[in-house]
Amino acid sequence: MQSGSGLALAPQTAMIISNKDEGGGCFRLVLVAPRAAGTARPGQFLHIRCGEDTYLRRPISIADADPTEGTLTLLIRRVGRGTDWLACRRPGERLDVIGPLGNGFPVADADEWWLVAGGIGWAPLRFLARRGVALGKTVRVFYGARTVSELIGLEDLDPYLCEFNLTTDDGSLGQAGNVVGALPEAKDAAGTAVFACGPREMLKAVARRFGYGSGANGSAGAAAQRPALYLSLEERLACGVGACLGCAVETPTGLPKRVCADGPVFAAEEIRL
Amino acid sequence: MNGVDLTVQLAGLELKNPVMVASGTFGFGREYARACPLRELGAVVTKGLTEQPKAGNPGPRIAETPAGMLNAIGLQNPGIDAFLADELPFLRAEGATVIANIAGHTLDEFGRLAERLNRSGVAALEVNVSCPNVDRGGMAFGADPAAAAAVTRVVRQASELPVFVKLTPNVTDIAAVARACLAAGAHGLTLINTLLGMVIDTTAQRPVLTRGVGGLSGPAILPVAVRCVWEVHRATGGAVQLIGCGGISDADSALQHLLAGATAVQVGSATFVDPLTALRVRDGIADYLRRRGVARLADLVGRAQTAGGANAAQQGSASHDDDR
Repeated sequence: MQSGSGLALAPQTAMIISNKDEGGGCFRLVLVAPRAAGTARPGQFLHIRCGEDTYLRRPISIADADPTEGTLTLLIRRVGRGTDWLACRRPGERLDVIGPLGNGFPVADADEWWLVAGGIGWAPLRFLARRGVALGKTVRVFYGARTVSELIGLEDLDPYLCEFNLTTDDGSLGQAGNVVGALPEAKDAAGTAVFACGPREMLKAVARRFGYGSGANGSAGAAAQRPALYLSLEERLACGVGACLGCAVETPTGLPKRVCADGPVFAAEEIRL
Repeated sequence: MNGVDLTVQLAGLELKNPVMVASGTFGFGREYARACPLRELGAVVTKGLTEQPKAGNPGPRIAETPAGMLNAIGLQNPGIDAFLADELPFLRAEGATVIANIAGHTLDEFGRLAERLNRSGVAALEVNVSCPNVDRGGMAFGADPAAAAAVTRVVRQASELPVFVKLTPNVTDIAAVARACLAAGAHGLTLINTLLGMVIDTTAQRPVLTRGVGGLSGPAILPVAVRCVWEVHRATGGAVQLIGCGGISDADSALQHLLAGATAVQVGSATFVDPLTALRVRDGIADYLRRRGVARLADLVGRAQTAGGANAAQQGSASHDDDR
């Protein structure tokens, strides 16, 4: 744990600058939260109170941070009472937030980064794509959703800086089928770093595709050929800081890890999905 | 603190203030220590300890409920060896007063845990006979007065530390369990652990928690917890010191516990919502004492039992006046 992060645990006030409907049941909040914006890294999240009708905070991935302006961008899908409440907030209203929390994506040495997003799993990867481009990485994005309206936030990235491969289950945009089907062959992934965020089934499929999981950890030779793979997990959280053990993920050996504090990003070999 | 004395004498312990953090809601202090100085808390009650490391239940382990939450963690903990080697030194270095919560599966395991902790530097033991999330031990002990007494006796024999037994509300007569623990030598009681509950996902048409049931905590259980403190205080004639736990999220909810008969309180899941809750509760209690001109916190303990409120309760009437 990094020093000085005690401040991240104290609730802070964030003012909403804008709240825009993105279609597909998603919306984009831009907040002024200078303290959080100053340190936020791709893959971290904010833990947000969502009114009086929900008890627990809701963990929301950070989709962008601008330390100069002191702003954070969140791309959120409405999935329940907490996110419904957030969707109805207006500019000028204030939110009670804790964060940034979680470990975030590692800055992988590989020159080529593949980002695999399923649905709203795009939110943290969008932030990572920008970071990768800024670092001079070759960034290839594989982004799938059920239908075209659920592919959100695409306009944020310059297609000249980043390769985009889009898929929709219904074929309404990009390649028809799920995003795993759009990934290159495993042999072409050697030497790259792959980052994935999306539904658990998608993460499992990505792991299998690149030679992880299902007992396929295999020979040393096969392990050397596979890309580094980092998975960002979604889980129900209570405390968000590693104290309550409510968000356990199984590991190949030993005690479970905590999604909120040991993750939400894990190297694929660290966990058992 | 401005002429207000918040110190608490609890079974031979002197606490700086009456506000502890409850077992299972604060880990071993490492996470929250960065925001909430551990030395400022009345005490840190550790996550429930077992002899062997324990992986706990498969997820999902938590579910939100109206004004609260369910958990079914299943006593995940690194085991007593790792606690003594890695966690306790940290807590002590931070200046925390440490109460170790022990959660044996058997009487023998309770005894061995108590023995290991006896001269370890913890200030007291909290005996967990009330966890609803395990198949062996836990609530099975706490729901039966004789079994709860047997655990209490074993722990008392194995250590010289003050022993607080944490009781479950999932019983018909909590006072009977309380009396049995006292007769067996408990120095005090923590009231209460979580209430057994269930949430069903109507889309999936099955319980949200993998275990099905879990323990309910949060503001929803405040009145149940206050009632339990009240009943046990009354049933024991105030002869035993109680630690109130359940639904405490601010000074007012903590004061309800104190006025019902608790000598100290524990903040639980409210810490998840605001990591600084325990310190806010402490400051709020001090403000209350100052405003009301009460010099010592001890003067407040159980006052509702003798101040008219008791008669009202006996008559079954209640005030709905929320104007404070």
